[in-house]
Amino acid sequence: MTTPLDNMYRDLILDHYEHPRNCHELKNTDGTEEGYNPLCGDHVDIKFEQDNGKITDISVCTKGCAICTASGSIMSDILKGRSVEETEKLVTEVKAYLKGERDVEISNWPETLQALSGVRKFPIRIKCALLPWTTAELALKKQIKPK
Amino acid sequence: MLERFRKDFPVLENNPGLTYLDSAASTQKPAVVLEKTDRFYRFDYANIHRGIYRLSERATASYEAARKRIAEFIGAAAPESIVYTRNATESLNLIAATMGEQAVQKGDEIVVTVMEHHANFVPWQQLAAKKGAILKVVGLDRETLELDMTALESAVTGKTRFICCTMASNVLGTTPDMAEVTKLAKKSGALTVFDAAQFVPHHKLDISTFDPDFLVLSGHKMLALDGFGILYGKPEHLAAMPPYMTGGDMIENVTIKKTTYAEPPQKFEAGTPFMGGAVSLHAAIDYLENIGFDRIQAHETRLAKLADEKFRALGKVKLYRKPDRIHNGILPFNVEGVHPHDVATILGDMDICVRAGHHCAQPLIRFMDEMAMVRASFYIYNTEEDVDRLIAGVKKTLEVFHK
Ligand SMILES: Cc1ncc(COP(=O)(O)O)c(C=O)c1O
Ligand SMILES: [Zn+2]
Repeated sequence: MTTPLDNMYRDLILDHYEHPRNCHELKNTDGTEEGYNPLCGDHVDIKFEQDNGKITDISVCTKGCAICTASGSIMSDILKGRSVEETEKLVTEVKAYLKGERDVEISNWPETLQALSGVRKFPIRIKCALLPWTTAELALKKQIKPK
Repeated sequence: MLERFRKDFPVLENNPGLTYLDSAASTQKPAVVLEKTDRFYRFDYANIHRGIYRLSERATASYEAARKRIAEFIGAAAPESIVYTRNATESLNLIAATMGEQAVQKGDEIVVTVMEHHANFVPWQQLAAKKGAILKVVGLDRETLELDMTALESAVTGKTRFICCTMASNVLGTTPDMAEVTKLAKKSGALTVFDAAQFVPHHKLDISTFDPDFLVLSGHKMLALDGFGILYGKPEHLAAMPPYMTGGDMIENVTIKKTTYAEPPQKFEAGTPFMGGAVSLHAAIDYLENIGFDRIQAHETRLAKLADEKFRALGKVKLYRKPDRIHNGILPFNVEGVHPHDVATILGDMDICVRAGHHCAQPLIRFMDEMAMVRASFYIYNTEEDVDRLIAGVKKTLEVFHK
């Protein structure tokens, strides 16, 4: 039987924690934002590059717990190549789903993103999982200048 | 053997299988403290200092008996030097906003240590910024993690107005030599502010041995109710300081043009106070002194050292204190390759309560070159079984993370 703990710390999550993807320098940074979670000191630094409303490259550098780091890494894989509009919609859905605010259909989400679902059983860790997403949202909202 | 004290604590009795290792954040309450407070509300409650009737007299008597007991407990000669506040944080803000406001001018210096809780750091940092004063932060000896007395000595000058120092670090358990600190302060003419919040749960305090100007503590960290704290100030300081808040209960005479203030401590106790808090701290002190601080220390230190020993045997646990420097029941650690927050979640899932994070001591965490730490803090109601469960929890953590 998988326990809620195993479900949260599944291998895919641990893999993204041990080997976070897409923390790198960008050629042109069109938007950037830092996010901080005072509870466990999680810190995430997001930069992205866009072209015609599409995220062409993204860098997500996290210093934090397994959940925050994995969430940021998974997000970076998913957002690359997405339109800004799609991204904003997805962020809203991820937030609503993790917070359990309303029913969100996740079967069409990438498998990696579905792997975050185990966090829902640990209310105080939801903030950790959300931090990269809310930070990305801010980066997009505040700093994007349409080219 | 103190293991029998667990049964004095209803929360622990009502949560079988709970391992509570977060007493440095707040302690559980013994039944006797809850009962005495309950009895106060059932038999003696009315507003104090106001009613001319017997019930109010009794309430006032309980409230003031607590002040006398607290003064005795910390070795203060005069009960009037004990001011009731909400907690250590409020006590410290009170000092900074009144004496600090008066004593600190542009170019003056305030000395704090790097191991202060934010409560004894931020008010001074803000006061310094407001006044154009200089905040000097004294570090620790890297080897022993004790307060670097040489650095303190060179930081203190004729311009130092305050030396603000914890009596026990909430992260490391480090206890500086208070007499040495006051000696330096007296030489330079600085005032001393001691944060005894983590000290008084574990030691008999006798301020006559080091003569501080100010000292603060929180009731909830020493078995009393939450929301009740103490400020000790030397009578001459309390007399000279302006009030912190104004309103009822703290005045002598109010006319439309002018108000004169009551004498300390009432001058600093505006509004209807938390009477039950005072009663609970009175009861908590009785309970603690009845056990005896030697026994309390012996018990908690033995458990903390036992956990330390077992962690060392297990390996993969980073320990920050040398075994002979484990004090005040505090054991900070990290599990290699696992973020402290994840450690705390896995332990929490097993009903083992520890604190993880920066512990409201970010300057110290940075000084230690860490992002965060896990802290197990032991107290009188903990048992060897709690130690075993903590070790099992860390083993489980290593398992979950495939370490
Ligand atoms: C050393 C120290 N000082 C001050 C405080 C603040 O206490 P309170 O939150 O009760 O004001 C704490 C609480 O964690 C502490 O550990
Ligand atoms: Zn986190």
